[in-house]
Amino acid sequence: MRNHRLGRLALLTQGAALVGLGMTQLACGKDATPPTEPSHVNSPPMPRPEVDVAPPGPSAPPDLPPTTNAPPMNASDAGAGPGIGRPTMNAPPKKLPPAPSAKP
Amino acid sequence: MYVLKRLSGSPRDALALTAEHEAIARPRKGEIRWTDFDASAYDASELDAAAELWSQRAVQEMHSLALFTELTSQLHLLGAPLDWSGAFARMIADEVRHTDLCIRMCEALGRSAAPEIDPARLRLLAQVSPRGHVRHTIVAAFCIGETISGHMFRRALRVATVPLARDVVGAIVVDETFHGELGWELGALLMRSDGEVFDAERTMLANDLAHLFRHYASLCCVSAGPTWARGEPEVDEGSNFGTLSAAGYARAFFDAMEADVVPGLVAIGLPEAEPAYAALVSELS
Repeated sequence: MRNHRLGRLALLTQGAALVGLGMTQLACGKDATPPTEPSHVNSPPMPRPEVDVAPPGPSAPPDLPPTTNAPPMNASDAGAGPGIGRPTMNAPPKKLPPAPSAKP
Repeated sequence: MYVLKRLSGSPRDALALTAEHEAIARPRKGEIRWTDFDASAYDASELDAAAELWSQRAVQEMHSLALFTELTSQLHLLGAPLDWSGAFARMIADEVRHTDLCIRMCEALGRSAAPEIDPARLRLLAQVSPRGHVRHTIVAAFCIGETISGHMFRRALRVATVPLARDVVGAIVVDETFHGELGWELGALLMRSDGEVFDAERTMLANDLAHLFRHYASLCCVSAGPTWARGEPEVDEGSNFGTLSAAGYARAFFDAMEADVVPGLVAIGLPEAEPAYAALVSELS
Protein backbone atom coordinates (compact mmCIF):
# COMPACT_ATOMS: atom_id res chain seq x y z
CA MET A 1 0.00 0.00 0.00
CA ARG A 2 1.49 3.33 -1.00
CA ASN A 3 2.41 6.00 1.52
CA HIS A 4 -0.15 8.53 0.35
CA ARG A 5 -2.90 5.95 0.73
CA LEU A 6 -1.72 5.01 4.22
CA GLY A 7 -1.66 8.70 5.11
CA ARG A 8 -5.20 9.14 3.82
CA LEU A 9 -6.41 6.18 5.89
CA ALA A 10 -4.77 7.64 9.00
CA LEU A 11 -6.56 10.94 8.35
CA LEU A 12 -9.90 9.18 7.99
CA THR A 13 -9.59 7.85 11.54
CA GLN A 14 -9.70 11.44 12.84
CA GLY A 15 -12.98 13.19 13.55
CA ALA A 16 -16.33 12.49 15.13
CA ALA A 17 -17.53 8.90 15.22
CA LEU A 18 -20.03 8.23 12.45
CA VAL A 19 -21.74 5.19 13.93
CA GLY A 20 -22.41 3.68 17.29
CA LEU A 21 -22.62 5.12 20.73
CA GLY A 22 -22.17 8.72 19.66
CA MET A 23 -25.00 8.54 17.17
CA THR A 24 -27.27 6.78 19.61
CA GLN A 25 -26.68 9.39 22.27
CA LEU A 26 -27.38 12.15 19.78
CA ALA A 27 -30.61 10.53 18.77
CA CYS A 28 -31.79 9.76 22.28
CA GLY A 29 -30.36 12.60 24.31
CA LYS A 30 -32.64 14.88 26.25
CA ASP A 31 -32.47 17.51 23.50
CA ALA A 32 -33.44 15.12 20.75
CA THR A 33 -36.75 15.82 19.02
CA PRO A 34 -38.89 12.72 18.66
CA PRO A 35 -40.13 12.12 15.14
CA THR A 36 -43.77 13.00 14.61
CA GLU A 37 -44.38 11.02 11.43
CA PRO A 38 -46.61 7.93 11.64
CA SER A 39 -45.09 4.50 11.20
CA HIS A 40 -44.09 3.56 7.65
CA VAL A 41 -46.55 1.39 5.79
CA ASN A 42 -43.96 -1.45 5.79
CA SER A 43 -43.18 -1.19 9.48
CA PRO A 44 -43.76 -4.35 11.46
CA PRO A 45 -46.70 -4.24 13.83
CA MET A 46 -45.86 -2.58 17.11
CA PRO A 47 -45.99 -4.89 20.11
CA ARG A 48 -48.79 -3.82 22.39
CA PRO A 49 -48.76 -4.04 26.15
CA GLU A 50 -50.47 -7.06 27.59
CA VAL A 51 -54.05 -6.41 28.54
CA ASP A 52 -54.81 -9.49 30.58
CA VAL A 53 -54.41 -7.69 33.87
CA ALA A 54 -57.32 -6.53 35.94
CA PRO A 55 -59.12 -3.45 34.69
CA PRO A 56 -57.37 -0.23 35.59
CA GLY A 57 -58.59 1.75 38.50
CA PRO A 58 -60.27 5.09 38.09
CA SER A 59 -57.01 6.97 38.55
CA ALA A 60 -55.03 4.96 35.94
CA PRO A 61 -53.61 6.84 32.94
CA PRO A 62 -55.23 6.28 29.54
CA ASP A 63 -54.16 3.00 27.93
CA LEU A 64 -52.01 4.44 25.14
CA PRO A 65 -49.29 2.31 23.54
CA PRO A 66 -45.81 3.81 24.08
CA THR A 67 -43.83 4.96 21.07
CA THR A 68 -40.31 3.68 20.32
CA ASN A 69 -38.97 7.05 21.43
CA ALA A 70 -40.98 7.18 24.60
CA PRO A 71 -39.12 8.65 27.56
CA PRO A 72 -38.84 6.60 30.74
CA MET A 73 -42.19 6.11 32.39
CA ASN A 74 -41.25 8.26 35.37
CA ALA A 75 -38.74 11.06 35.37
CA SER A 76 -37.04 9.45 38.37
CA ASP A 77 -36.41 6.27 36.34
CA ALA A 78 -34.05 8.00 33.93
CA GLY A 79 -30.86 6.08 34.42
CA ALA A 80 -31.36 6.00 38.18
CA GLY A 81 -32.06 2.38 39.00
CA PRO A 82 -29.60 -0.47 38.56
CA GLY A 83 -29.68 -1.79 35.00
CA ILE A 84 -32.15 0.82 33.81
CA GLY A 85 -30.72 2.78 30.93
CA ARG A 86 -32.22 5.23 28.55
CA PRO A 87 -34.05 3.46 25.75
CA THR A 88 -32.33 3.63 22.40
CA MET A 89 -34.21 4.48 19.23
CA ASN A 90 -34.63 0.79 18.51
CA ALA A 91 -35.40 -0.41 21.98
CA PRO A 92 -38.67 -2.31 22.31
CA PRO A 93 -41.36 -0.37 24.13
CA LYS A 94 -41.52 -0.87 27.83
CA LYS A 95 -44.31 -2.98 29.15
CA LEU A 96 -46.69 -0.73 30.99
CA PRO A 97 -46.83 -1.53 34.69
CA PRO A 98 -50.27 -2.27 36.04
CA ALA A 99 -51.98 0.63 37.67
CA PRO A 100 -51.45 0.74 41.43
CA SER A 101 -55.10 0.06 42.01
CA ALA A 102 -55.32 -2.87 39.59
CA LYS A 103 -54.75 -5.54 42.20
CA PRO A 104 -55.70 -5.67 45.84
CA MET B 1 -26.73 -28.53 6.14
CA TYR B 2 -28.24 -27.64 2.81
CA VAL B 3 -27.12 -27.92 -0.78
CA LEU B 4 -26.39 -24.62 -2.50
CA LYS B 5 -28.43 -24.45 -5.71
CA ARG B 6 -28.05 -21.88 -8.44
CA LEU B 7 -31.59 -21.52 -9.77
CA SER B 8 -35.09 -22.03 -8.38
CA GLY B 9 -36.71 -23.22 -11.62
CA SER B 10 -35.76 -24.79 -14.91
CA PRO B 11 -34.92 -22.48 -17.83
CA ARG B 12 -38.16 -23.57 -19.53
CA ASP B 13 -40.40 -22.09 -16.85
CA ALA B 14 -38.14 -19.34 -15.60
CA LEU B 15 -39.41 -17.35 -12.65
CA ALA B 16 -39.50 -13.57 -12.40
CA LEU B 17 -37.11 -13.78 -9.44
CA THR B 18 -34.65 -15.78 -11.53
CA ALA B 19 -34.62 -13.13 -14.23
CA GLU B 20 -33.82 -10.48 -11.60
CA HIS B 21 -31.08 -12.66 -10.14
CA GLU B 22 -29.49 -13.20 -13.52
CA ALA B 23 -29.46 -9.45 -14.13
CA ILE B 24 -27.54 -9.03 -10.84
CA ALA B 25 -25.24 -11.95 -11.63
CA ARG B 26 -24.06 -10.46 -14.93
CA PRO B 27 -20.54 -8.97 -14.76
CA ARG B 28 -20.43 -5.23 -14.18
CA LYS B 29 -17.89 -4.92 -16.97
CA GLY B 30 -17.18 -7.08 -20.00
CA GLU B 31 -18.81 -10.32 -21.02
CA ILE B 32 -18.29 -13.97 -20.16
CA ARG B 33 -18.20 -16.15 -23.26
CA TRP B 34 -19.78 -19.26 -21.73
CA THR B 35 -20.79 -20.80 -25.04
CA ASP B 36 -17.30 -20.59 -26.53
CA PHE B 37 -15.92 -23.02 -23.96
CA ASP B 38 -15.37 -26.59 -25.14
CA ALA B 39 -14.78 -28.93 -22.18
CA SER B 40 -13.80 -31.79 -24.48
CA ALA B 41 -10.56 -29.95 -25.30
CA TYR B 42 -9.20 -30.66 -21.79
CA ASP B 43 -8.20 -33.76 -19.85
CA ALA B 44 -10.81 -35.12 -17.46
CA SER B 45 -8.39 -34.92 -14.54
CA GLU B 46 -7.78 -31.21 -15.22
CA LEU B 47 -11.52 -30.55 -15.35
CA ASP B 48 -12.04 -32.51 -12.09
CA ALA B 49 -9.37 -30.54 -10.25
CA ALA B 50 -10.59 -27.18 -11.54
CA ALA B 51 -14.24 -27.96 -10.68
CA GLU B 52 -13.24 -28.98 -7.15
CA LEU B 53 -11.50 -25.65 -6.56
CA TRP B 54 -14.33 -23.61 -8.08
CA SER B 55 -16.82 -25.50 -5.89
CA GLN B 56 -14.78 -24.60 -2.78
CA ARG B 57 -14.74 -21.00 -3.97
CA ALA B 58 -18.54 -21.06 -4.21
CA VAL B 59 -18.77 -22.00 -0.52
CA GLN B 60 -16.39 -19.18 0.47
CA GLU B 61 -18.33 -16.65 -1.59
CA MET B 62 -21.58 -17.84 0.00
CA HIS B 63 -20.06 -17.29 3.44
CA SER B 64 -19.12 -13.74 2.42
CA LEU B 65 -22.64 -13.15 1.13
CA ALA B 66 -24.15 -14.25 4.45
CA LEU B 67 -21.70 -12.19 6.48
CA PHE B 68 -22.13 -8.98 4.48
CA THR B 69 -25.91 -9.30 4.51
CA GLU B 70 -25.88 -9.62 8.30
CA LEU B 71 -23.49 -6.70 8.56
CA THR B 72 -25.72 -4.47 6.44
CA SER B 73 -28.67 -4.98 8.76
CA GLN B 74 -26.49 -3.95 11.69
CA LEU B 75 -25.38 -0.74 9.96
CA HIS B 76 -29.01 0.32 9.93
CA LEU B 77 -29.22 -0.07 13.70
CA LEU B 78 -26.08 1.99 14.26
CA GLY B 79 -27.11 5.13 12.39
CA ALA B 80 -24.51 4.86 9.63
CA PRO B 81 -24.74 7.45 6.82
CA LEU B 82 -26.94 6.36 3.91
CA ASP B 83 -24.02 6.06 1.48
CA TRP B 84 -22.77 3.13 3.59
CA SER B 85 -26.06 1.36 2.81
CA GLY B 86 -25.63 2.05 -0.89
CA ALA B 87 -22.08 0.70 -0.90
CA PHE B 88 -23.22 -2.41 0.98
CA ALA B 89 -26.10 -2.98 -1.43
CA ARG B 90 -23.45 -3.31 -4.13
CA MET B 91 -21.32 -5.54 -1.92
CA ILE B 92 -24.21 -7.96 -1.45
CA ALA B 93 -24.93 -7.98 -5.20
CA ASP B 94 -21.25 -8.66 -5.89
CA GLU B 95 -21.17 -11.66 -3.57
CA VAL B 96 -24.35 -13.05 -5.16
CA ARG B 97 -22.60 -12.66 -8.55
CA HIS B 98 -19.43 -14.38 -7.36
CA THR B 99 -21.27 -17.33 -5.84
CA ASP B 100 -23.29 -17.70 -9.04
CA LEU B 101 -20.18 -17.48 -11.24
CA CYS B 102 -18.38 -20.15 -9.22
CA ILE B 103 -21.25 -22.63 -9.51
CA ARG B 104 -21.78 -21.82 -13.17
CA MET B 105 -18.08 -22.36 -13.81
CA CYS B 106 -18.44 -25.91 -12.44
CA GLU B 107 -21.40 -26.45 -14.77
CA ALA B 108 -19.35 -25.21 -17.72
CA LEU B 109 -16.62 -27.69 -16.80
CA GLY B 110 -19.22 -30.44 -17.05
CA ARG B 111 -19.17 -31.12 -13.32
CA SER B 112 -22.23 -29.55 -11.70
CA ALA B 113 -21.42 -28.51 -8.16
CA ALA B 114 -23.63 -29.26 -5.18
CA PRO B 115 -21.62 -27.70 -2.36
CA GLU B 116 -23.04 -28.13 1.12
CA ILE B 117 -23.54 -25.14 3.36
CA ASP B 118 -23.60 -25.49 7.13
CA PRO B 119 -25.72 -22.61 8.46
CA ALA B 120 -24.00 -22.90 11.84
CA ARG B 121 -20.70 -21.94 10.20
CA LEU B 122 -21.99 -18.89 8.35
CA ARG B 123 -20.99 -16.60 11.22
CA LEU B 124 -17.28 -16.10 11.43
CA LEU B 125 -17.18 -13.87 14.46
CA ALA B 126 -18.44 -14.00 18.00
CA GLN B 127 -21.24 -11.69 18.93
CA VAL B 128 -20.21 -8.60 20.86
CA SER B 129 -21.87 -5.18 20.96
CA PRO B 130 -23.40 -4.23 17.58
CA ARG B 131 -20.82 -1.50 16.99
CA GLY B 132 -17.95 -3.71 18.09
CA HIS B 133 -19.28 -6.50 15.88
CA VAL B 134 -19.51 -4.24 12.83
CA ARG B 135 -15.98 -2.90 13.32
CA HIS B 136 -14.59 -6.38 13.98
CA THR B 137 -16.32 -7.76 10.88
CA ILE B 138 -15.15 -4.92 8.62
CA VAL B 139 -11.55 -5.33 9.75
CA ALA B 140 -11.66 -9.13 9.45
CA ALA B 141 -13.71 -9.67 6.31
CA PHE B 142 -12.74 -6.56 4.35
CA CYS B 143 -9.38 -5.17 5.50
CA ILE B 144 -7.92 -8.67 5.83
CA GLY B 145 -10.15 -11.08 3.88
CA GLU B 146 -11.06 -9.01 0.82
CA THR B 147 -7.56 -7.57 0.55
CA ILE B 148 -6.05 -11.06 0.43
CA SER B 149 -8.81 -12.14 -1.94
CA GLY B 150 -7.97 -9.24 -4.29
CA HIS B 151 -4.32 -10.30 -4.42
CA MET B 152 -5.34 -13.91 -5.03
CA PHE B 153 -7.75 -13.17 -7.87
CA ARG B 154 -5.38 -10.74 -9.60
CA ARG B 155 -2.76 -13.51 -9.62
CA ALA B 156 -5.35 -16.01 -10.83
CA LEU B 157 -6.22 -13.66 -13.69
CA ARG B 158 -2.57 -13.34 -14.63
CA VAL B 159 -1.97 -17.09 -14.79
CA ALA B 160 -5.30 -18.27 -16.28
CA THR B 161 -4.80 -19.75 -19.73
CA VAL B 162 -8.34 -21.02 -20.39
CA PRO B 163 -10.30 -18.14 -22.00
CA LEU B 164 -13.52 -18.85 -20.07
CA ALA B 165 -11.63 -18.84 -16.78
CA ARG B 166 -10.05 -15.50 -17.71
CA ASP B 167 -13.51 -14.03 -18.34
CA VAL B 168 -14.91 -15.31 -15.01
CA VAL B 169 -11.92 -14.31 -12.91
CA GLY B 170 -11.79 -10.94 -14.67
CA ALA B 171 -15.42 -10.29 -13.69
CA ILE B 172 -14.59 -11.07 -10.06
CA VAL B 173 -11.43 -8.93 -10.04
CA VAL B 174 -13.46 -5.85 -11.06
CA ASP B 175 -15.58 -6.27 -7.92
CA GLU B 176 -12.70 -7.18 -5.61
CA THR B 177 -10.91 -3.93 -6.43
CA PHE B 178 -13.93 -1.98 -5.21
CA HIS B 179 -14.25 -4.21 -2.12
CA GLY B 180 -10.67 -3.45 -1.13
CA GLU B 181 -11.17 0.32 -1.40
CA LEU B 182 -14.48 0.21 0.46
CA GLY B 183 -13.10 -1.99 3.23
CA TRP B 184 -10.20 0.26 4.08
CA GLU B 185 -12.32 3.42 4.01
CA LEU B 186 -14.92 1.85 6.30
CA GLY B 187 -12.24 0.38 8.55
CA ALA B 188 -10.65 3.81 9.01
CA LEU B 189 -13.99 5.57 9.60
CA LEU B 190 -14.95 2.95 12.19
CA MET B 191 -11.69 3.51 14.06
CA ARG B 192 -12.73 7.01 15.08
CA SER B 193 -12.78 7.13 18.84
CA ASP B 194 -15.68 8.36 20.90
CA GLY B 195 -14.53 7.50 24.37
CA GLU B 196 -13.75 4.72 26.78
CA VAL B 197 -16.04 2.16 25.17
CA PHE B 198 -14.14 2.57 21.92
CA ASP B 199 -10.81 2.10 23.70
CA ALA B 200 -11.99 -1.18 25.21
CA GLU B 201 -13.37 -2.42 21.87
CA ARG B 202 -10.19 -1.41 20.04
CA THR B 203 -8.08 -3.37 22.52
CA MET B 204 -10.32 -6.42 22.11
CA LEU B 205 -9.95 -6.21 18.33
CA ALA B 206 -6.17 -5.72 18.56
CA ASN B 207 -5.91 -8.78 20.79
CA ASP B 208 -7.84 -10.83 18.22
CA LEU B 209 -5.61 -9.97 15.25
CA ALA B 210 -3.33 -12.96 15.76
CA HIS B 211 -6.36 -15.28 15.67
CA LEU B 212 -7.70 -13.58 12.52
CA PHE B 213 -4.33 -13.83 10.75
CA ARG B 214 -4.17 -17.56 11.52
CA HIS B 215 -7.74 -18.04 10.27
CA TYR B 216 -7.01 -16.43 6.88
CA ALA B 217 -3.64 -18.19 6.64
CA SER B 218 -5.48 -21.48 7.04
CA LEU B 219 -7.98 -20.53 4.29
CA CYS B 220 -5.02 -19.75 1.99
CA CYS B 221 -3.38 -23.18 2.36
CA VAL B 222 -0.50 -21.76 4.42
CA SER B 223 1.45 -24.71 5.82
CA ALA B 224 4.90 -23.13 6.13
CA GLY B 225 6.51 -19.69 6.05
CA PRO B 226 6.93 -17.14 3.26
CA THR B 227 10.26 -18.60 2.14
CA TRP B 228 8.51 -21.87 1.26
CA ALA B 229 5.58 -20.12 -0.45
CA ARG B 230 7.84 -17.94 -2.58
CA GLY B 231 10.16 -20.81 -3.50
CA GLU B 232 7.51 -23.13 -4.98
CA PRO B 233 5.70 -22.91 -8.34
CA GLU B 234 2.73 -20.56 -8.20
CA VAL B 235 0.58 -22.75 -10.43
CA ASP B 236 0.21 -26.44 -11.17
CA GLU B 237 1.21 -27.81 -14.54
CA GLY B 238 -1.23 -27.98 -17.46
CA SER B 239 -4.10 -25.76 -18.55
CA ASN B 240 -4.91 -23.13 -15.98
CA PHE B 241 -8.55 -22.56 -15.02
CA GLY B 242 -7.90 -19.48 -12.88
CA THR B 243 -6.50 -21.41 -9.93
CA LEU B 244 -3.19 -21.40 -8.07
CA SER B 245 -1.11 -24.12 -6.46
CA ALA B 246 -1.24 -24.45 -2.66
CA ALA B 247 2.01 -22.50 -2.46
CA GLY B 248 0.54 -19.94 -4.87
CA TYR B 249 -2.40 -19.26 -2.53
CA ALA B 250 -0.02 -19.08 0.41
CA ARG B 251 2.17 -16.64 -1.47
CA ALA B 252 -0.85 -14.43 -2.20
CA PHE B 253 -1.54 -14.44 1.56
CA PHE B 254 2.00 -13.42 2.56
CA ASP B 255 2.31 -10.79 -0.19
CA ALA B 256 -1.07 -9.28 0.69
CA MET B 257 -0.25 -9.23 4.39
CA GLU B 258 3.09 -7.52 3.90
CA ALA B 259 2.13 -5.07 1.14
CA ASP B 260 -1.34 -4.02 2.30
CA VAL B 261 -2.91 -5.67 5.34
CA VAL B 262 -0.32 -5.03 8.06
CA PRO B 263 0.64 -1.48 6.94
CA GLY B 264 -3.04 -0.64 6.48
CA LEU B 265 -4.01 -1.88 9.94
CA VAL B 266 -1.19 0.14 11.48
CA ALA B 267 -2.38 3.23 9.59
CA ILE B 268 -5.94 2.92 10.92
CA GLY B 269 -4.77 2.63 14.51
CA LEU B 270 -3.98 -1.03 15.08
CA PRO B 271 -0.17 -1.11 15.51
CA GLU B 272 -0.53 -4.52 17.16
CA ALA B 273 -0.81 -5.94 13.63
CA GLU B 274 2.97 -5.85 13.20
CA PRO B 275 3.91 -8.05 16.18
CA ALA B 276 0.92 -10.34 15.51
CA TYR B 277 2.08 -10.98 11.94
CA ALA B 278 5.72 -11.36 13.01
CA ALA B 279 4.63 -13.99 15.54
CA LEU B 280 2.70 -15.90 12.87
CA VAL B 281 5.67 -15.90 10.48
CA SER B 282 7.95 -17.02 13.31
CA GLU B 283 5.59 -19.93 14.14
CA LEU B 284 5.56 -21.03 10.49
CA SER B 285 9.24 -20.71 9.73
